[in-house]
Amino acid sequence: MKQLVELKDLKTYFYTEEGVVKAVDGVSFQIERGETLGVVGESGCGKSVTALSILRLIASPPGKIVGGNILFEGEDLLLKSEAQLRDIRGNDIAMIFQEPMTSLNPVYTCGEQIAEAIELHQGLSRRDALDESVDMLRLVGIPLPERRVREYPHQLSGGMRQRVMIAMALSCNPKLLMADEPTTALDVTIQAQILELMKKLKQELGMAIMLITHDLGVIAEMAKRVVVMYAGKVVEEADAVNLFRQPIHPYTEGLLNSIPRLHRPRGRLHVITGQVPNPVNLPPGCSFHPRCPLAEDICRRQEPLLVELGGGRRVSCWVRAGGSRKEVA
Amino acid sequence: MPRRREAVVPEFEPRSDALLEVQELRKWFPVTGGVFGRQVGNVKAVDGVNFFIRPGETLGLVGESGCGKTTTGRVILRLIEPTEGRVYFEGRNVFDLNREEMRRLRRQMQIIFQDPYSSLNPRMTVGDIVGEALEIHGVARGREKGNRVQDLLEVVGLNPQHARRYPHEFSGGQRQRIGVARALALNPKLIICDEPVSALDVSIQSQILNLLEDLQSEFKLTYLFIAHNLSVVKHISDRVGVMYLGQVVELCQSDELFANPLHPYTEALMSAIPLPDPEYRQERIILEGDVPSPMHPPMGCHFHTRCRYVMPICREVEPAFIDVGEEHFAACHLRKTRQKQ
Repeated sequence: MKQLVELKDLKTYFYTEEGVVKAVDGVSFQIERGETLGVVGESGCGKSVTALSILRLIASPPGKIVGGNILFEGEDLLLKSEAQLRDIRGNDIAMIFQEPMTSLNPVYTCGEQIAEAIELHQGLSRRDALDESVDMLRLVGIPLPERRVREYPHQLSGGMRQRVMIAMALSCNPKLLMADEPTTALDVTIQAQILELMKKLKQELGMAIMLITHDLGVIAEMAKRVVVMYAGKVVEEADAVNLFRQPIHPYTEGLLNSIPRLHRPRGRLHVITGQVPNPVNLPPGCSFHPRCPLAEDICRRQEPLLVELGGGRRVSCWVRAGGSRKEVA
Repeated sequence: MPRRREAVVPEFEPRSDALLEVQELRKWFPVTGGVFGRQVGNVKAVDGVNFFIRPGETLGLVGESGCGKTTTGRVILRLIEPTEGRVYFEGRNVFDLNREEMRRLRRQMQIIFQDPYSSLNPRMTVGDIVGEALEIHGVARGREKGNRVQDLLEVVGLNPQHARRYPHEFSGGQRQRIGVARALALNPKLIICDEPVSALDVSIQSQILNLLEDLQSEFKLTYLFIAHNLSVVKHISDRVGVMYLGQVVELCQSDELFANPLHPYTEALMSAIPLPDPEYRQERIILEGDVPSPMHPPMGCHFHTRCRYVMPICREVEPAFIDVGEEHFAACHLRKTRQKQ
């Protein structure tokens, strides 16, 4: 079995006072073993909720997974009991978050926090688990790990804390690491260190990475395949090289054109007009149509389907991809 | 141990061609500790900054968190009082002005803040936010103020009818436009833009950058543009200064900086940026470790602890910030000319 994760038509809705927020609305994609998949989109596009849904960590109420399947090694995570899920979380699927300070517990030492996961999932004794956590800290490039293991999160810098988070996430040798904006809170020189570390660890440990970010530079650097999300849906999926060379969906194209480039002459920036739509009141038809320069009549009336264009590329756009040919499972 | 510097910059006359000139600016924040709350040290947030901005120009200040770029902006406006140094605005030292003179000068110098959520008072309508300064400075009131506010909203691309709405009714990008309108209200000459697009999504960021450029040419504005994102700074700035641990380490024309970075920190910073092009592979200089604490900046060159070209002199003598040719300033013992060895 090649696919590690298969999302099929996943729908995660939030029931709020203002109305139903369709945060994830029919998302399908796959993650192969050992590959790095980039998930890109702006705030509110549903990329983080997709990851939390995979771990079944959606707070309910107000959130609920209302439809679809999440297959992990062929088994549907939506059918698992809470006890089975606890076994999977941290063990087979681990996650690191944007803000390393708020995701670490301030009253436990770094060593205790890493050891907890090891004890729980691998059945080691406390002492062995602590020894193992020193090895993990060394693996993620923390100097003097024997000393750091006894320190508290506030004694570490932001970059070091993110290394501790990565050490914790990798301590049980997961098959999938989900990284939600792992470097967004960090400075560029520290970001470069962390990205380099993630690449190196992926090579050594062979896990798959689902990298969620709004930063197209980070995506280009890390991902082999990219999924672009907008307003709760996948609008384009492609091999990274092809996506950056020739984006097909007008949103992807607009996004790529609107970032200032370091190695290009200065000039006026391309602009995607308007705002991200209100999630409780999405426009009819294609959600992107009010901001799309190519929008036609049908875009305002009917939602385009995600269409397979060959070469692993999927696009949902009436104008650029015909929109209707067939739905991709 | 006394600090050894390569050259002490004497107090000199402000340049006649500059709208704003900053000379040897320092801001040290005292750190207290112990049971008696005695001062135990200083955070040297800004530690000897020099630059100037010509009228109508955009100067970018770029650097990582804690490098002192935001403090520099606030000290220039005297939102924070300086420890030492001089800031000349149109030839007058801002720090010599009394309260009343300063108040009048504020009409010429305005600021746009990073966070469009916390920098607008949620209890005030947009009209009151944008019009407040007009009233305080006695420029306009009543209907005249209302008209001016509507004009301003239109200029920044908002619906003038929305003057009666509250900030929470707007999206992040629209709020930042309100902040821009507020800064424009008094027809200032200089606007300090402190990370104006960092909190915004990519597609909204480009809208605000274009707006700032349009306003600059329309109203002959001068910008000090402070940001951590090098690509954004390069895009908008005519000249760029790179800050590290409270000092400007390199400053020159924007294109020159990216084509010919001289300071090793600039080099590393630029190579660290992931480019949105999977086919482009650059040599990456990974800086080891973290930025040292600004309470105890390293002796000599502040960057020597992480520099891959470090020489013995760098550990002892602080390099002077000199023009190495064609207004390319750098503070590095190794790079004293525009030609690299």
